[in-house]
Parts: sequence; C-alpha cells; structure tokens
Amino acid sequence: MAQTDLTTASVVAHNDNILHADVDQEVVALSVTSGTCYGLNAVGSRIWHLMATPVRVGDLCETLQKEFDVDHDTCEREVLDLLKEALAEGMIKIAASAPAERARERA
Amino acid sequence: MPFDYFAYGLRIRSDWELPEFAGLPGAAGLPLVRVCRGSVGSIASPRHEDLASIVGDDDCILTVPGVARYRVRHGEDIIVETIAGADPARLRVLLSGTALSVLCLQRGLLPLHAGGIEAGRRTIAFAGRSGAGKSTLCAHFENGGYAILSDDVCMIDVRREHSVVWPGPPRMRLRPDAAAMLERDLAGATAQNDGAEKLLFATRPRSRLQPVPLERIYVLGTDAVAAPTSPEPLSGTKALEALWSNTYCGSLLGPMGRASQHFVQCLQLLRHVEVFGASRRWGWHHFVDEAARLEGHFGAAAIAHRARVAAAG
Repeated sequence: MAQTDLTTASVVAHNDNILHADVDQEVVALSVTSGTCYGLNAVGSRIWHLMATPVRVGDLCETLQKEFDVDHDTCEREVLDLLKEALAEGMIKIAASAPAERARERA
Repeated sequence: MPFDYFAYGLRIRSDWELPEFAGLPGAAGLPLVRVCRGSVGSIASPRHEDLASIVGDDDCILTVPGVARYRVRHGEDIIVETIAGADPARLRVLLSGTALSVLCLQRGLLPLHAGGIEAGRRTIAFAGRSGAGKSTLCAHFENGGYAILSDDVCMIDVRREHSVVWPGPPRMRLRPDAAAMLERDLAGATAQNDGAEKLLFATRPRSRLQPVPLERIYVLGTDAVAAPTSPEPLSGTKALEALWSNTYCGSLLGPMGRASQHFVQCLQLLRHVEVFGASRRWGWHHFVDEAARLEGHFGAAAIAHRARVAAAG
C-alpha cells in the first residue's frame, strides 16, 4: 500500500526493524537498517505508544482527542501527516488487521 | 607452547606468535580467549549469509578475500584459516580489529571505531570513519605526554557503574606522511601491506591493564571547515546515531541478533558520556592548531572533573 493510501481506516503498527526506548519520558527510535535515529516529542511519543499493538488510525485519533485539547479535524489531519512521514521513513507499517478492526468486523 | 597476551580485558591464548599484541602486562582473573589456526568448517542453519559473513547463534565466519577466514564462537574462540599467500601482518591486523570486535560483541562489549587516550585518568575517545584522523591525533597526543589506550577500536564495557575502555594492543597504525609529520622513528615501524600502506608503531608501554572510565567521545568529521570551529555537543538522537554508525562491525549487529542489546548499551553509555562533533580545518599546516583546540576542550573538562572529585572527596 502506498503511503498516500493511508486513511483513518488504515491499521498501523511499529515496523519490526525499529528499536525504541523511553528517554526522559520521550521516545527515541532507531532504524536498524539505516542507522537513522528519531527523537519524538510528547505527542509523537504518545502516538508511538498507542501503536505498540496494531491500531486503526481513527481509533488512535479518538484517543488523542480525549487526552489533548484538539478538535476532530485538526487531530486527524495532523496525525495523518505525521504517520505518512513515519511510513515514508520506514518507522511504521500498515498492518493487515487489528483487534479493534476484527471486533468491528464481528459486530 | 601457546603464547599468552592481554588486551581488551581478555587473556588471549594463541597457538602462534602475535607480536602486535605483546607488551601489555597481565592480570589475574581475566576471561580466556583462544586463538588457533585451522579449518573454520561451516555453520549449520545460519541465520544470515553473504559474501563477507556467515552468522549463526553466537557463531560467525568472516571472510576477507586474499587474507583469511575467521570463525568467532561464543565470545571464546577464534579459528583462523589462512588463505595461501596472505600477508601475515595484514592477517593479524584483521584478527585484532574485525575478528576480536565480533568476539567482543558476542561478549556484550561495545566496540567503537575510535582511538582512545588517557587524560586525567579518564578516556577521551576520537571516533570516526577510516581516514578521519583518529590515529594521527592519538599519536600527536602521545607525543604530548598522554597515554594511548587503544588505536582504531575502543572496547567499551557499559555494564559497570560508569562505562570503561579496556586497553587495546599496544600498537598503532600511521600513514607514512603522518608518521613523518609527527617525527616518529620510521626505523622502528613495521610496514603493513593492507592497501592503506600504513606503518605499525609500538605505543608507549603501559604499566597497568585496568580499564579507564570513558569521559567523552569526539566524532571527527571528514569534511573540512574553513574557519576554526569549537566542538559541538551532539543531542541525544545525534549522539545515538554517532555511536551506532561508528560501532565496529556494526553491520553484523542485526544478523547476530544483538541490535536490541546494542541499542540499550548505547543509551546506557550516553547517560554518563558526552559526545561532541568535531569539525576541523584540513591539512598539515592546520593540524597542530586544530589538535590544540581539541586538547583545550577536553583539558578543560579534565580540570573540571578533578575539581568535582576534590569537592566530593
């Protein structure tokens, strides 16, 4: 799937070749393949933690709206921009399925 | 009769003479590593295989065309299978650098592509890719009275309260023009048929084998700058990138299954060790001034450290 196909219906997760750790309450991530290191700010770190298991982008935005003072449209737009960038950098992947998605399918 | 040597915090027992390793005093209780010649055999069900390396569980075969194949196992054994016609000195350089770095990775050490000197009972390391000037700087500082801990690769143990560097083999490799500029006695050097045509020199003898706490790392840039520039502290992510990219044999971390452990070790190291980017004006006519700038930078830190120790004591 191309990164431009990323939507709120997409299910995203950490890429397997990314190592990460919390340093001073913020996430530091490193690509084993490229050696590139990424430092995430507080919001980016929270998004990263929410992707510890595959998560639908729409669900991720809902969680962030409850935790941060941000309206629906701004949240979705900024999260999608960030995730597209992370996808292009190889930090995350589009997962095939997720528990939340399967639950929805069962319903 | 085996030959015993001491380097990188190890007792290295070899079935043939390794003159480059001779000179460091021994110490009791160090882990034993055996080096012998023979067939490297094969690794059943390797997890990674390419032209240069075959990697299994704590088991690695490294191939250097025209020189040798090295099998490094369990952080304890190195088997060297010489290729006919190989230069013995080149073979030993690769044993000291590449093969022992892989062995140290297997033992949980962090091999940094860096030269290290001892300043005020602290290690100052100069990291950077080949040609960055690590050995030349170390030799210059040795001329100025500092002791060289290790040339080209610093074996760092981050498992202690403070990361330490173990002394390496008491030898260093210099390009002939650098050796001449540093007024080294060329008669005492051994030629190295290693492509870089470097000369091998003995470093000043050490009386102790103890590791030395690592204070800071300067990452030497290879792009020349026009004006004098002070070393710049690297931020957390940049410092982490610098450690990762300057890890000796770092390309094997993933295949060896040690990437996660190494990542954690780098983060541990950064809790206590400062990392600076050091750009310099290039050319011999700037060398002494640029080295003095670096010395002023780490010298000030050594003075501050001594003051902290005195205040605490």
